[in-house]
Amino acid sequence: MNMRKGSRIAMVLATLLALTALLPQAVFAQDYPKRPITAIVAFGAGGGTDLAARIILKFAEKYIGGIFVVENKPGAGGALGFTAIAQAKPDGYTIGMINPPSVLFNPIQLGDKVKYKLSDFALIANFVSDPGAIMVSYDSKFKTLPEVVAWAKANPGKLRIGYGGPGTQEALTLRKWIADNDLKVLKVPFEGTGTNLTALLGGNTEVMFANASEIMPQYEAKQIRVLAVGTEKRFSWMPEVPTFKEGGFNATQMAMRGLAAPKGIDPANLKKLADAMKKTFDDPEFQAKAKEVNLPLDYQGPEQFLKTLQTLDVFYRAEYAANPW
Amino acid sequence: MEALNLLMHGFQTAFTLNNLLFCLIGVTVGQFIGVLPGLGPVAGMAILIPLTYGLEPTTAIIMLSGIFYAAMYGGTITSVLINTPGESASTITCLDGYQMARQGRAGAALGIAAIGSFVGGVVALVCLTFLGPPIAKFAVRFGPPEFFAIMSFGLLLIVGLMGKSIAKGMIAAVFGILLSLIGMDPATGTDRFTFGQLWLLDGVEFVVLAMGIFGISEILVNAEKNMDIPVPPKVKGFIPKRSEWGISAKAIGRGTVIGMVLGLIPGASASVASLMAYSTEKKVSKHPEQFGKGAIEGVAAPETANNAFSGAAMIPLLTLGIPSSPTVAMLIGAFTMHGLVPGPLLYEKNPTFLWGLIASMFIGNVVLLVMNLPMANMWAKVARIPYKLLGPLIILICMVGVYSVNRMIPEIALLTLFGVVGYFMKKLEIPGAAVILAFILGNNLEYTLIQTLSMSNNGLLYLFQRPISGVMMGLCILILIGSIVSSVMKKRDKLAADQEV
Repeated sequence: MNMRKGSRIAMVLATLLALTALLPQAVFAQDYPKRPITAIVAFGAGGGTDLAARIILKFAEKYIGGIFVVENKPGAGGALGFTAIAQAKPDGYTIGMINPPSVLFNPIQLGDKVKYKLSDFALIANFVSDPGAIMVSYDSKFKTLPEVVAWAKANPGKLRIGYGGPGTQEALTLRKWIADNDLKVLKVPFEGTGTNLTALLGGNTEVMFANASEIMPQYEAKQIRVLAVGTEKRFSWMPEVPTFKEGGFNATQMAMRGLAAPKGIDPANLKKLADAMKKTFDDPEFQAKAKEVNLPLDYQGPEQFLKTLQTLDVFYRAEYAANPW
Repeated sequence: MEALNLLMHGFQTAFTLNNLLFCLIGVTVGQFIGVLPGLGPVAGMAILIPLTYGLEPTTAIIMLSGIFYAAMYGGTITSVLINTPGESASTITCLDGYQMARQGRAGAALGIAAIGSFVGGVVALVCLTFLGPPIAKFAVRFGPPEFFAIMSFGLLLIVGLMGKSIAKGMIAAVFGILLSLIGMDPATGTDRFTFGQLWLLDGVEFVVLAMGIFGISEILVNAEKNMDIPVPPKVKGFIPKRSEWGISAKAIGRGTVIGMVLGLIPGASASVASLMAYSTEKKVSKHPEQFGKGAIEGVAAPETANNAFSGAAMIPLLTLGIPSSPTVAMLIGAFTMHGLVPGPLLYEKNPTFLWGLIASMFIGNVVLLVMNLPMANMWAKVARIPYKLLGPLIILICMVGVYSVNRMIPEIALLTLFGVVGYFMKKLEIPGAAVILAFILGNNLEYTLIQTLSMSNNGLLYLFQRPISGVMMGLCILILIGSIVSSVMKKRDKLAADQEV
């Protein structure tokens, strides 16, 4: 009895083993990828970048013909994760999400402590460009950006502005806005959009700087009024909102999210990845999902993405050299 | 009625297979931790937080909250059967519970404790359901100065009430705040106390500190003790005598009120709640001489109170983001880790999560009632797991858990360091809980202070110019003076009687 039971279990196990041995071959009947590709996310599970990465990669599996495994490596404003991507073995089985401009800021702001630079990455694609936005509460007396400037000029040291704190992209935008208009305002740092929003809605600040995707629910619920967005042309999600430039503020602000591999990756594999990402981006189901979770999409292929980042890198280095933010 | 509607939606969330499963896992683990004498809910949660990493935030918090309130149920069983409290809030239950067990009435003691726990827990949850939204609506108007004042108030109360001396409480709190300063300065962006280590730029990971101070140190301290547990007696018959029903019902009523009120006050703990409920019963009783000899109200009241406490403690957590006890501080750590900001905005931004969590607690309480009555015998056996197996296992779980969070080897070293620090703090009676609470609040305290200062040109005076923050700051000063005076007069023993430190 025992013997028979034992041998039956052995049979089942053997069958299972045989099946698992077959499985990878069935899935990866090609040169690349032959095994799952690790995708490093430099921020914690459940955050915005993580969410974006998981959605993009899930759709991309169909087009690459393989599996992506997300590995969160948070810490030091993304610097740890970005370093891990740059220093990974360039065999095509480790890629990662990079977040410009943070990925550019880290080597500039932290100097030698950060062990990677832009040229350490082989860029695959950019997926998301989330414009910066300047907003007030819906019942605010301010209806346009020039009105805010005029009021701040007339009342120096009175206007309270909530922003993401020093070192962030918003800090740079805010600094430029203050310098351009020669204003005296109170800058109030907030950790995360949530508390910043509470302060704005509670009347503890008058103006808030944040990214557009994070305030979509409040924008749609007419709790806040967006005065200007940091796009080059009008932002498709908020067509009636003027750009910074239309509002008399000569700047743009975009938080991007894209994919990169460590440099030295086989160009054929890089092309495979880039092609798969382009197809993912064009997938209508993916586009619908992205809209649902408030991801402002913006595709840039490897060359264009690199050009964008190089231009930004030069700009930020000059800004930082002139005056750190 | 709107709240009721929302709660129904919450049940929809809670009744999904996944959430239900993890609610069950949570309460089972909580019960387990409650039963094990060497492991309280704070340590238990610290150890288990990293294991929830891969889960959806809602599922993870449902599970962790389950641990929190289930431990209050579990602790009773060992108190009654073997005179060893499974966690500190059930210490007082030993007095009459164990006596009842010796008279062969263990079943009745456990029965009334489970019923009382259920009533206390559910009534507190009903209050959370209906009181939460209006408080949150009010608190949304709070600005940085108000939050700074409330947090200082809470922290001071905690430090003032916890442990035997205000000086030691202060040492612990200042240590916690110092640790929270590690990392990037929110006002200028400069790195502080990082010794050039990039991984410290985001500050010390909460889990590392919590596991070290509570998990590892607990094992070290227990390793010195004799942790052999006597064989528990068999339990049968959970129904108390007919004559005891009336007394018990009243005791449960009073226990509920006491537990709930204390749950709302930062600084009180579940142990204080059960202690106060017990002494109140003794005072109002017609036969106080029966206490300590197996009086059923001596079991019913404290057990009800500690559960009402844990339900009510969720109110300041969810509406204001203020931890009222170390266990709740653990929950805040878990919230942050899953990208949720506890506070009034939860009601607007994450209603599905919030009401799902509240609904899951109702479900969890029902599950616990079932789990405790017929299965008491089995749980009593759990307490007898040899410590020499359990201790190393817990240390292993801590190490793996810490590594799983950020995959940083240096954090394991840091964990060990905090474990040793925690061990000496226990030896010196410096309350570790105050370190954790100060650490959890430290970051927000700093942020809100900087925000307050940058919002006005008046400096600290601005805190006193706004009505709510002004009153709170006034109270802070009063508490500080009060605790210093009372410690000078040496009248602290009563409040500080038994704290989980």
